[in-house]
Amino acid sequence: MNTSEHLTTFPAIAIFLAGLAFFFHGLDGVKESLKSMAGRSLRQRIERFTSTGALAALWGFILGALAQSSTAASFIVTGFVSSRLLTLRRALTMVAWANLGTVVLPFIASFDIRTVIALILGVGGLLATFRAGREFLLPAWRGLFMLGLLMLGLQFLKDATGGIPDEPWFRQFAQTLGDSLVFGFVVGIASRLVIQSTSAIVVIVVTFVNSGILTDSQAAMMVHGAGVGVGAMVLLMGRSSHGLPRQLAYFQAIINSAAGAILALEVITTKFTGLPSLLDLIRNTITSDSSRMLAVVYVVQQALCVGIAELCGSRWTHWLNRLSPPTDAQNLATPMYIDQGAGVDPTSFLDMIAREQARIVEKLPDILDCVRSDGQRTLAECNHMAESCKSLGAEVHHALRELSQTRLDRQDAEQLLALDIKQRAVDQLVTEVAHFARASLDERRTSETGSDSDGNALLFGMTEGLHLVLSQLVECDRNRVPSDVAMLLMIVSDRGDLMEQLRADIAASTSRGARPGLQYTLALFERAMWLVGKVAPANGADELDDTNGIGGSGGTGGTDGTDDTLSNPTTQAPTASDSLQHA
Amino acid sequence: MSEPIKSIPDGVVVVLSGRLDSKNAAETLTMIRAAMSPSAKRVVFDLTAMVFMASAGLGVLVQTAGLAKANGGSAHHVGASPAIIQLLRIAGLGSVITPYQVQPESTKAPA
Repeated sequence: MNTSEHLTTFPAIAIFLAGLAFFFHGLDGVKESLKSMAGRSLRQRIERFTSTGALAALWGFILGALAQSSTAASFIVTGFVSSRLLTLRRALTMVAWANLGTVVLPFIASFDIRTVIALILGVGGLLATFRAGREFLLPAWRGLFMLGLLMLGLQFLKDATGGIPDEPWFRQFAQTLGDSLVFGFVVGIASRLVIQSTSAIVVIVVTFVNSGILTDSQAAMMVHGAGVGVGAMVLLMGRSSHGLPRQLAYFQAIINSAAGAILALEVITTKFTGLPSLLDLIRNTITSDSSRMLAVVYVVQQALCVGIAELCGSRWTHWLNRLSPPTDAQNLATPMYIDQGAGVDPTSFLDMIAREQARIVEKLPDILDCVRSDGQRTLAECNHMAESCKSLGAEVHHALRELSQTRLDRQDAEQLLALDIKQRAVDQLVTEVAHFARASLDERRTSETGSDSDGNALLFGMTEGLHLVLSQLVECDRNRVPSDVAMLLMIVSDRGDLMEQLRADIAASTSRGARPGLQYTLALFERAMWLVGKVAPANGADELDDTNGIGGSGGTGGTDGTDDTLSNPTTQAPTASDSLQHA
Repeated sequence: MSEPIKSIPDGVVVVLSGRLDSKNAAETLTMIRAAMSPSAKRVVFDLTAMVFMASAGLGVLVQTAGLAKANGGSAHHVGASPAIIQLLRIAGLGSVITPYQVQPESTKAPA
């Protein structure tokens, strides 16, 4: 990995591209792994570790010291926030102190980060490959490997760009600009954009000062410019994020830019007014050695980041919420009720779980938004919504599991079983609706390309039909009016003949004969409709029997615990006795 | 729409035209509910001039049909284009809102 010394242009570009790819792939991988691990118990454990501001600061400091990059530390914390393992407030403290942590190792030890990266990649990769330990540890090993990949990416970026200051053209450029302070500042920003480490820039700046290319003041300006560069870099790399991750990017950008700008202003002001500067102060009180002076300047700058962060305290949350409001999907993924369930009686806790479950059901129609004519969301946003539904669903399962380990009376045990069965159906419905949206969008593109109006009409009918029943499901779940539930069950029940006919229509049509995608979309539609019947409240089935005599084939909501199993054998709803064994 | 809702002996004929989607569904449903007798047992949707219906529009039909069914009655449609009929069918409303065999004008109540 030590590639910085003799890189010519082409290998440097190739390594730079590989670095970018490793970084972004690693970042996605870390987020995904954290999401898989993000249960209530892990969150509670992390909450304990960061229960006070001081603890969060300490962890942030350690993270910065280990990652040796404020950018890497920011994105690792972002992964925790995205997975809801960490609250925004604690994350802000961690990010602020991670900046200060980056100053430690380069100055107290000859610590080779490459060895650490190799160790993380090796250990994480091997443990993941051989599935070491228990099953739930697998995402942790994958996450460790992805963290190594992220850090390797940053290292590649450093290596690819590390040789630039040694280039003759760069030295000549620096000499022609004389002792301009603004130049030092601008070069600092630019350097930080390409060299992913402020401490590395400090080391380079020291060599420039020693060889007489830069004055002490210019060197200090370059370090301050690098602070602004950190902000620009974090914003640039996090530009595709929204909501909470974006808030962290803004926070990091603001505190680093402000610290860099304040200290740069100090250098300029003291130069033109003749007042004693920070450099004078360091020279007179601590050290007159240029390299140590710059090291102290760097420490002061990072400490100022922390100072700015701490000065505004809890107001950051308010400002950042205005700058980048949390998205619907992020709001949904955050439990509203069950996190407050500690210490309440089982009946009330079950009520809280039911409310959390209702929040998922409410968002089901929105997952179809990307494929609807008057929808506002993109496919990515709909996928995020589905992911958030699943994430909240995992919280519901966890809460149910926790409650099942306590002593429950019969009524509560039955309620727990009903909620568990319903949640399994809701989870599957979320998956089917998300798959339907994607498949439908793909098929619509195919239909448009081939001017297949019949295919388009079928897709439109399925989309609007599914949206209708999901909207009705939301109404029924909210109001539980028996006649509405009966109507919903009537709509979703007994669709076998219709589906057979539609399948035959597709197969018979020459324009769509070779369209397995359309058949697949129809199958997803059929299954989603069937699952709606499973999720629907139970109180409509009797009425349906009374009014039409066709009830019972739709859904019962499963409150009696004898609901027929869902068709996927791997995710079958448990029998009453299975689930009640815990109770 | 002129005279969008007409009374018939045991219910109403609801004439729907143009587009029915999320933009006008709530308003249309309010209008139908206001015009419908609480004891109406039959509702007939005249869809002759209906050109587009989204899920919100289907929701209007379902909710109105629900009112009639709650009184032990039924809901029907008439004059719908093949595209609208297919939409109703795929959405699962084929058995909820059935075709009406007689033109709605013949069922109109005497003035």
